[in-house]
Amino acid sequence: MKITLAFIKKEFLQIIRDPSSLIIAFVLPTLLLFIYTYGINLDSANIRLGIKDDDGGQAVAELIKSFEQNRFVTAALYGNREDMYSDLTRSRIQGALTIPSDFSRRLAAGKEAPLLLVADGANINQVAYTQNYVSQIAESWLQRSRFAPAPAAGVNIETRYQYNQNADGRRALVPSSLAVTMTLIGILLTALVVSREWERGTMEALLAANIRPIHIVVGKYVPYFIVGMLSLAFSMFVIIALFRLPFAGSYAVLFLVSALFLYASVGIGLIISSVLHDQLLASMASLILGFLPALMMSGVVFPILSMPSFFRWLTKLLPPTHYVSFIKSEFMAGTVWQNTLASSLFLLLLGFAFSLLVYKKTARRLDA
Amino acid sequence: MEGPNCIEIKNLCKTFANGRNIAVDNLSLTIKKGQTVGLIGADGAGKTTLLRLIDGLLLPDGGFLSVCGLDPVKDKETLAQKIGYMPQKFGLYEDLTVRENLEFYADLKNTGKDFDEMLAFAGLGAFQDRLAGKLSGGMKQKLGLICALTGNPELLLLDEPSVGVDPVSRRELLKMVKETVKNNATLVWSTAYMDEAHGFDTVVVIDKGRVIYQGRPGDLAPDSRSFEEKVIELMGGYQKKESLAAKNFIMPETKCKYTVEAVDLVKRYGDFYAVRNNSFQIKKGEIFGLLGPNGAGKSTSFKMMCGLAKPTSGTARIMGTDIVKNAAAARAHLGYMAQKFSLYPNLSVRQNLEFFAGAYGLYGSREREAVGRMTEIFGFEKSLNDDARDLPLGYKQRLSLACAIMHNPPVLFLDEPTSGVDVITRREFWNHITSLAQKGVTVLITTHFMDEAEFCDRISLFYKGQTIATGTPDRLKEKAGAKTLEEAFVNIILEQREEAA
Repeated sequence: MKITLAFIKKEFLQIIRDPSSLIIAFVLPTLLLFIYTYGINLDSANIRLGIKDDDGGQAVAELIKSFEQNRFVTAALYGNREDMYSDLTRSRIQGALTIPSDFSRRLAAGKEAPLLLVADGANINQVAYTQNYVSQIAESWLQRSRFAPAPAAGVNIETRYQYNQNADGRRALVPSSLAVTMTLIGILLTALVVSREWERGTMEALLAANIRPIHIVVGKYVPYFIVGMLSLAFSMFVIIALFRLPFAGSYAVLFLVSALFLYASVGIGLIISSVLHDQLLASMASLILGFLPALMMSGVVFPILSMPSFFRWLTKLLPPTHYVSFIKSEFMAGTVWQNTLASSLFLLLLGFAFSLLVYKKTARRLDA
Repeated sequence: MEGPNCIEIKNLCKTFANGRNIAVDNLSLTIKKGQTVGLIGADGAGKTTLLRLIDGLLLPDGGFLSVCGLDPVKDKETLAQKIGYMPQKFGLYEDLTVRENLEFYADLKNTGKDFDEMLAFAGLGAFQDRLAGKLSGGMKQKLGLICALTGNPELLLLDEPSVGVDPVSRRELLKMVKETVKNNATLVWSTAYMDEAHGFDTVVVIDKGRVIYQGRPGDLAPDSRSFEEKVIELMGGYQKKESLAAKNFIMPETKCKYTVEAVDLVKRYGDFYAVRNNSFQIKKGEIFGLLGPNGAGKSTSFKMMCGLAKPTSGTARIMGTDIVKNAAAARAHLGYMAQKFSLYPNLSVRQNLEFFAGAYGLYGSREREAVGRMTEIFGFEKSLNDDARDLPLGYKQRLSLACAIMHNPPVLFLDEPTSGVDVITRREFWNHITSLAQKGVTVLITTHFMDEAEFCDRISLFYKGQTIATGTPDRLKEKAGAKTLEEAFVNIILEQREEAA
């Protein structure tokens, strides 16, 4: 016990002395939160749209005004079609809209009136946005204009978003960033510490001293677990107090399940560093095994449902997947007990299996 | 109670890489309690492996091993309480302070924490709140030693504690250790320094994993110089041959009187002067030695002289070319061997040689000729396809030297080329160096071995960034009133310390 405490104390002294661990634990999460809040926007793209008006009528001027006033579209008027297309080629505008000379005449005659939209196909997402915006703006203009057709009977779908009424992507995205942060601390930080002992030769001195594997295992688990939980508390403070994101769930449940997730992550980190005795290799391995799956395969960025079935199945085995789905619902819908318990059980079992492996893999001697 | 023997070893075997690499070969050895033992052996002879087996850090493949009456395999934890072990890298946490390191190791050994006496003993009392990483090499060694001494071990195992340490620190360390083992502890000290080995109760010479001599050092030879000759004889002897490196060397035409000149070199970090007004001139074909304690500024001077570090002021000229103004042209005249092994560890010997040939602008037939020449000179035939990282240290140093001289440079900079290398390889190295100098190559060299420094034509003694004495080895000895260069070195430095205090 005394040895374990000595070990934990030593580890904390090292954490405090080493600015990089504090950066990973506190500066990085803040940075990620800012990027997720202000940098990434999955909802809407701001489109620069070029418009060439061949019609020139009063009604069309109203239409152009609607484009100019829309907050997702920045309209640029062109007098010359060549200029507009050359700007499209140079990516100065993402869409080129041509209003044909007979546009208002055809509408007045009650005929169908086409608009020509050329979009930059290099970015498929943007094409979809451009197309959507243009047709919505044109449609709503039509309803208000004197050409409005008589309302036809039919199905009218009105969408409402459960749990996230404004369909504000940040509310789903920002909590997920916790998963990325906790993975970084759990895996990257811990992966570095054991390999560092090997690299600097202190492991040899430790093994020569009266130290058992259990001391090393507990002595490495506890400090990084505590740092991870502190970092979580810090991130929660930033999210709730500074970004003022609503939180529907229970703090107790959040911290308990996070603790389980951290337990599993620290385990992965310790396994990596007990196998790889080189700090550089250990950090590469933890980025590839820890960070990338947490970002790309947990449903933070890419929806799991749109993955091929093999990968969907694979994501089920990764701790971040369970944690991301838990934390999203905890933030937006409150505790969903059935899912929470299932995820917790999985994380607990995984974490326990990892710690057994860590114990087995912890060196007793230099060669075995 | 346990018998009078502290360590008993019978037919001990240990191999690595699935038996391909035999480190300890059927070795038998008995060490009595309370003895001080110098463990001597060439690099790769099995010294470190033997110490690690005794300590229970490695599992033996076969044989009998008893340490302090215990079996290191079964009773590793109990045994750990009785042994103080200092690995080659000291095992210190660089980001903890001196005191924190001590406290940590004391906690591991479950002993008291009255360190004041120990710290005073190591001369570290004033530095207990300094980070271990910020200590000088000699101080780190002393801290490593007192960490190993916590809990009053019965057996003290020190793995090459004096590698790369200057004579002053080395003397102090040896004195400290002998002081502590007075009260009946057994000491095993592995070393490559013959003069140290000569001061122990017993010496054990091992070669290729076997004990080739065990006995009182005085029985083998009366003094350390002839002791070294005897040890070399035991190891199979060294026959001085004509240096092929010098024979095949093509000395370029030179007209400069001074091939290497340092002109008021200064390197300042903040308000700390690593090097202060360093000036010297070296003639063609001269071997010029830079000597000084760790941290005196030798390596910094070296790096500035070959354009790897920018001087704060002053400059250096290589074959008359200014290193600051025209670094590339000056470096073209230069062969440089760094203190740390700076070849590619995961490239083979051949690939390293080929790479450096290319880096010196040798291609095609000239490259093949240069690589072939180096292979022949240094005997790389058998290991051409081995990764450089797997070579024994002596071979690594040979490869570094090969890469430094393959383009026939008229000036050679060697930064501690023989550190940690066994006596025979050192002899071979100096044969190359002196023969090259006779051909007209100018050599600037740093070393910690005082007997090596005798081979230099002139020596500059470096202390705290300044030259405190220059001259031929005989002049320096005369000036300090000393018989050996080591004594002269210690006297001059202690004199400087007194002046400063």
